[in-house]
Amino acid sequence: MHEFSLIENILRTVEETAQREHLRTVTSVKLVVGRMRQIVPETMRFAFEAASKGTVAEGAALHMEFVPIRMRCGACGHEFEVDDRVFVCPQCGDTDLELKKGMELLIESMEGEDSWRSRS
Amino acid sequence: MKNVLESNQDKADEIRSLLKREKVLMVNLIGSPGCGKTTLLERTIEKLKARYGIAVIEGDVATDRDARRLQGHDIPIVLINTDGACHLESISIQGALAEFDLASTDIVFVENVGNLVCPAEFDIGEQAKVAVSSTTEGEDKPEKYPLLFREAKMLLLNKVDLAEHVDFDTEVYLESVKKINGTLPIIESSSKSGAGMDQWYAWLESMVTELRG
Repeated sequence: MHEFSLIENILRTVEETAQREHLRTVTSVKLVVGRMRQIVPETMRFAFEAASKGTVAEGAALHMEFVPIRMRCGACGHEFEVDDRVFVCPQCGDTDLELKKGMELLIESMEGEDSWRSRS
Repeated sequence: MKNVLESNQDKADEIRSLLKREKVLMVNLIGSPGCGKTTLLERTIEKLKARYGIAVIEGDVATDRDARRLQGHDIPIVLINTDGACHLESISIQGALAEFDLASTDIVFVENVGNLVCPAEFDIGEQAKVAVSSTTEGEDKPEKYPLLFREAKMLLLNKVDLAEHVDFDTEVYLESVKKINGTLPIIESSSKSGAGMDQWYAWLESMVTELRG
């Protein structure tokens, strides 16, 4: 369900950007999403569809690029990806890890159509 | 590239520097509905209010039931009804903090909305997230909700007095926490039997001392 609150934040940013760039409609939004956020793509799309009704982004396509979880070991400095939910350094077995990647939630790009009214 | 949670993050950073300046410890309690957050708070307030100025921000999806339970303790409480939203955001915390006299406050407890996902994702400017996870929820929570167990600075395994009645395997649970976050300190607690509570108070005390420098 957290997809809905994230989409709310995303839409706010999309609407602000659209207004600033004088977009009449937004046709696509591309997100960069870290795996640590445990986002379910289908739920995200559903939330986006539902929440964007009546906004400039209604009907826009939502693209997501996922970023793997990347940790750095505080003991030996080894950097590795976590894909099996085991947060243990595969090199030295230490658990003092620093998250380097995987918490992203970024709008990488969006596309839309200009408003002719702003072109006077 | 635009960071979607930037405005929440900016507010959270402002809160963190305010708390640092005022030397106030803010603890963000996160756990499932029914894991024992409110009872834990009640015991904690009873124990510590003679020594520390305590205030509570109570986050609730709806109703003021939890806030009412705490009202008898004669401490400042601000209730934030999120109207269905599953977590607290930093902007509402900023508003709530403005209602407290921070000069006479040492610890602000935030009881977040009962949920293991969203509250872990939204920084509210606290110095420490505390995960409250109870034996009645089963052993699989750390693996299912890794973000909370990674973000937390302290884990209370609550309702340990019920473990044997609900076939909770403490060893399995602790092993699974270790896989997610091997550096996370764990207190096996029960607000009812009093188990682990002294450790919990001692930890809070050490956090306050550290903050005062």
